Formats: sequence, structure tokens, C-alpha cells
Amino acid sequence: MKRFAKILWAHTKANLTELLRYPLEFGTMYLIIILFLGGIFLGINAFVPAGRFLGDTRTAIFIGYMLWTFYMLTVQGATFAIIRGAREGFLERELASPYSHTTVIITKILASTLSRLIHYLLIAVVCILLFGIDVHLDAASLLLIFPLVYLFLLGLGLIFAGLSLALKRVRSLVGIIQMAIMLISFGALGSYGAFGEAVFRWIPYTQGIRLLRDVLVDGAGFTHVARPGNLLPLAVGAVVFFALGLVVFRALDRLAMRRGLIGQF
Amino acid sequence: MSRQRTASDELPALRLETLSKTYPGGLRRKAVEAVRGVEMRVHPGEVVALLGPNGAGKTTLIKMVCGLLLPTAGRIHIGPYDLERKRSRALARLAVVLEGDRNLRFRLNVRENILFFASLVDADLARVRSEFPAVLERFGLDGEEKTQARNLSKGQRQKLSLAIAYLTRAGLMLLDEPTLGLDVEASRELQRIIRDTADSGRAVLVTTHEMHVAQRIADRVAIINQGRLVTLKPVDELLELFRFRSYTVRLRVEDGPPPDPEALGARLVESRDGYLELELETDDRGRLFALLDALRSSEAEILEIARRQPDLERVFLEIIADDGRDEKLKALR
Ligand SMILES: Nc1ncnc2c1ncn2[C@@H]1O[C@H](COP(=O)(O)OP(=O)(O)OP(=O)(O)O)[C@@H](O)[C@H]1O
Ligand SMILES: [Mg+2]
Repeated sequence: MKRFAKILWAHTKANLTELLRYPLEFGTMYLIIILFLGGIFLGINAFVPAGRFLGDTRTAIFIGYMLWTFYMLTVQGATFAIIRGAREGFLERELASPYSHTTVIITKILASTLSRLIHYLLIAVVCILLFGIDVHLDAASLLLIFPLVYLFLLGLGLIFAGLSLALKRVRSLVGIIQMAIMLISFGALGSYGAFGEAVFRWIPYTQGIRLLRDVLVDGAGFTHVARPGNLLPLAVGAVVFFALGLVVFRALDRLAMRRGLIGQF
Repeated sequence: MSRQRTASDELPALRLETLSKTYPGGLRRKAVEAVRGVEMRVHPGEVVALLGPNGAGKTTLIKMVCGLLLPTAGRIHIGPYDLERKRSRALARLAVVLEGDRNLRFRLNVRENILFFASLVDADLARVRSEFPAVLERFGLDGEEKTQARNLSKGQRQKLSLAIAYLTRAGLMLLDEPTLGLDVEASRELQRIIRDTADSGRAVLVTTHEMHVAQRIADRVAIINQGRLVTLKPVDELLELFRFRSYTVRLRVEDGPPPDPEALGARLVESRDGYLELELETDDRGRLFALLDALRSSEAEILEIARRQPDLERVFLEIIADDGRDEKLKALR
């Protein structure tokens, strides 16, 4: 565990250092995000008649956005890190270590999230303050929901990592999924209909968004989140997807190791 | 440089047992048998140079040992550990410099690269921190501590990759073409470092296309051709096996007909403007004197007589050319 913490920290520090090497790029990226959100919120102010609805919509967009960013930080970040590692060549060097390939890749996904987490939180705070978004921040509920949603995303990240090791050109696939996730992120705030509800309950991402909406917008408390009917699908789904991610990654990694694909791009 | 032979009953740092790798075929590709039944041991304290033409399977072999490629058959032991069953323990004893410019994170500087890659193999960071100023100096990288890897020259990057492998203190070092593209001085310094690494008790397996490098640093030479290990012998023994005496005679013929080399039992290497170079390949001293006798009666003036030493390059070329025909090679196996 201590050794794992050591390599996690090494990867996180390396990522942070690399990010900070390009402060302009880095700074403008966050400025764009904030301006983009600001634009949307101002647009809503201009076109939607004032009222309770307005606050709801903004909050909804905020939540959808934050979850989508969360996805981008984890899955997308990790996939691109792996593609870059294969292109610049150091991925093989990183994988030629005493740790299993699975451990190294999970570490890379975690590090990719950790190194951006501060900025993620920063954007959240800026949005809340700047655009007057009214949310109920219930720490206990958030600390229950986010890790489970993250476990799901880790599973998804492993699948993408495996795909990029074995198939290489996965950017457009990643792009499509990114769009789908965006649709789900924002769509989940409405209703899916009976069938949709049944399906999406078991996908941790959508179930997570639902619960977040309940907490952040409607002010539901921890007891609501922890209710088995709510928590169980989220937890089970998260564990199942993570396990699926592990299995798929292992299979694709072995394929790449058989065909000698790891160092290619 | 020292050439201490290590006792071969000692536990090898690397042991390959009938190691084979076939890259599977696909829709439009044929399967490639890149490595075929290679048996090899590398002992602590020795440098083994792995030589072979392009595509012989050297990199494939190295990558299997690093756990980046799955062997089709055979086993790999690093120290006492079987790579397949005890991957983590096995790979903890290994440091590698992969082929090409692929061992660094370009956006990190020299110091950051060292600490990053040292952390990945669980090296003692306090030790690495205290040792690396001296190591940087040794590798000619002092003053570059804060330079990003992408701003280093190719040779400097190669040195940094090697410094990282060196600093991890692993018992087995795998180096895939470490001297490629280095200037003479840098290459020599790297060779010294590789030799010293082995002399300090570590095992080194190094691939190279530069025969003089292999000849200078290796205790034993492994030659691999089309995936098969053709020979694995001490350098001296290989040179001895191919120790034919070969004399080069340079002549000048001002007037008169030039001597007929065929009749003299020699081979004409070059003839231009009355200058001739003959080569006599023989173990029989009598034939050299017969040649000189024959020349005495001609008009030729002898400019130079030299005895050629066989070198590893020549041995290598002979072995590769001979592979498949199996003439001299029988003696090697
Ligand atoms: N990923 C791969 N898929 C299919 N064939 C491959 C792959 N990698 C290498 N090969 C083939 O395997 C053989 C051995 O290649 P390898 O890279 O091991 O040679 P090498 O001895 O390192 O050559 P060089 O001296 O040029 O570096 C070659 O025929 C090569 O085309
Ligand atoms: Mg090679």
C-alpha cells in the first residue's frame, strides 16, 4: 500500500509538473471553461423568464457540467495520457516495472484525476460564487456518491486504456462516448421515462447524477442517499463496472502483449 | 578493462529457457517467428553483447524479458524468480534502457526524470537523491539538472536514460542499442560505465550493431540470426576460433607485367596505377615465404607486409554468412 502510494504520488507530481510547464495553455483552458459556463448562464438569464425555474436550470446545468468534467478528467484524461505515452514512447518504460500493467494504468488514471482535482474544485467554487449558483452542499452525501461514481469511471477508464493499447486509434470512439456522456449528464436531470428509469438506475453515472440532483438541488439529506433503493444500485453498478473494466483491460493488455502493440501508436 | 570470468555454477542473473516468440499473423500479415528457442544465461559481473542483423529478434527478446511482450514458449528467470509466476519480484531486479528515444518524459527535467523513474521501481529515493549529483557528473550531465529532457541532445538523453537505469541499482541491466547515435567520446564514456557496472557485480545484456563496442566491453558475445541463437561464446574464444592468419602485401610494379596473384596463391584485393594489394589467407608460414620468393624474381617493389588480426566484425560477418550452411558453425555449437 505504501509502495502504491509512492508510485501514485510520483505520477501525480509528474503530471502536475508537466501541466505547470505550460501555464498559459493551462490558464486559458480554465478561463475558457469559466467563460463558456458564464455564457450559458447569462444566456439563460436573458431568454428564460425569471423565477424558480431559472435557478433550477442553472443548477442543473452546473451539475451536469461538473459531472461531465469529472468524466473528462478521469476517462478522457487517462486515455489521452496513454496515447501520449505510446507516442512519446515512455509508456513502455513505465510499464516495465515490478507492478502489473493493471496497477500501473490504474495509477495513471488516479494520478490524472488527482493532478486536476484542485482545478476541478476551483472551477466549481468559481461557478458557485460568480454565477450565484444555489446548491446544498451536504458533505457526507457527496463523499458517498462521488467515490462510487468514480469507481464506475475507473472501470470505464480501464476499458479505454485497454482499447488504446490494443487498437491505438481510439480518439473518435472516445469522442463519441464523450458526447453520449454529455447527453446523459444533462439529460439525467429530466426524466427518462419508465424504461429509461429502470435501465439508468443501474448505471452508476446516471444514478449518481440523480442522487446529486436530489442532494444539491432539492436538499435531500444523507438518509435519502443511503436508502438501499438508492444506494444499492449505485454501489452494485460501480463495483460491477469496475470489475468489468479490470477484466476487459487484462484481456486487451494480453492481446497487446502477444502482438507487440504496447509501444506502437 | 577487466575480463573476470564468473563461475558458471553461480545463480545466473538472467536465464532464458527455449524462449520463443511468434508474432501472430492477421488478415493481411503473415506470422513472424522473431525468436526461436533461445537458451541463454547471463551471470553477475559479466557483459553479454547480443549481436545480430536488423530484424534478428534482439529487441523482441529484450522486451520479453521486461514483461512487455508475452513469449509464445519458453521461460524467463531473473535471478531466482520466474518472470511469469513471480513477475513483481523478477522485474524488481531489472533496469532497462529501451531501444530508441523512448525512456524519458520529455517535459520533465533531468532531475524530475530521475526521481520519477526511480520511484516507479521502488528505489530508495533518499539514496538516489544523495547519489545523483555524482552520477550526473559521471555521465557528463552536471549543470543540466534543470534542463527539460526535450531540450537535451540525443546523446544527452541517452546518457540520462542510462543514468536512470544505473541509479536503480538493479542486478540485471538490459540495454537496447545504448550507444546508437553517440559521438566517439560519449560512446567511450558509456562503454566505460557499462563495463564498470558489470565489474561492480551486476549483469549486463546489451544489444549493439557496433562490433568494436562489443569487442571492447563484452565478456561474451551472443549472435542471433533470424531469431535463432547461433553462438554464445567468450569474445576471445570466438576470435580464436576464427583465427586464420591473414597477410596483406602491398606492392608497386613500375615496369613489366604485374605478378599473377592466382599463381602466387593470393587474392587480389586492389590494383590501381601500378599499386597492388594482395591478401594471403593461410596458417602455413611456408606459403608466405613462397609468395615473397616469387616476388623476388619479379620487378615488384614490396611496400608493406602486414598481418591482419581477425576482429569481431569479421567474425560476425562470417558467422552470419555461414549460418544455414552450417560449416564453421558446427564448431561453435
Ligand atoms: N509488433 C510486431 N508485430 C509483428 N512483427 C514484429 C513486431 N515487432 C517486430 N516484428 C518482427 O520481428 C522481427 C524481429 O524484430 P526485432 O525488432 O526484434 O529485431 P531487432 O533484432 O531488434 O532489429 P534491429 O537491429 O533493427 O533493432 C522482425 O522481423 C520484425 O519485423
Ligand atoms: Mg532492435
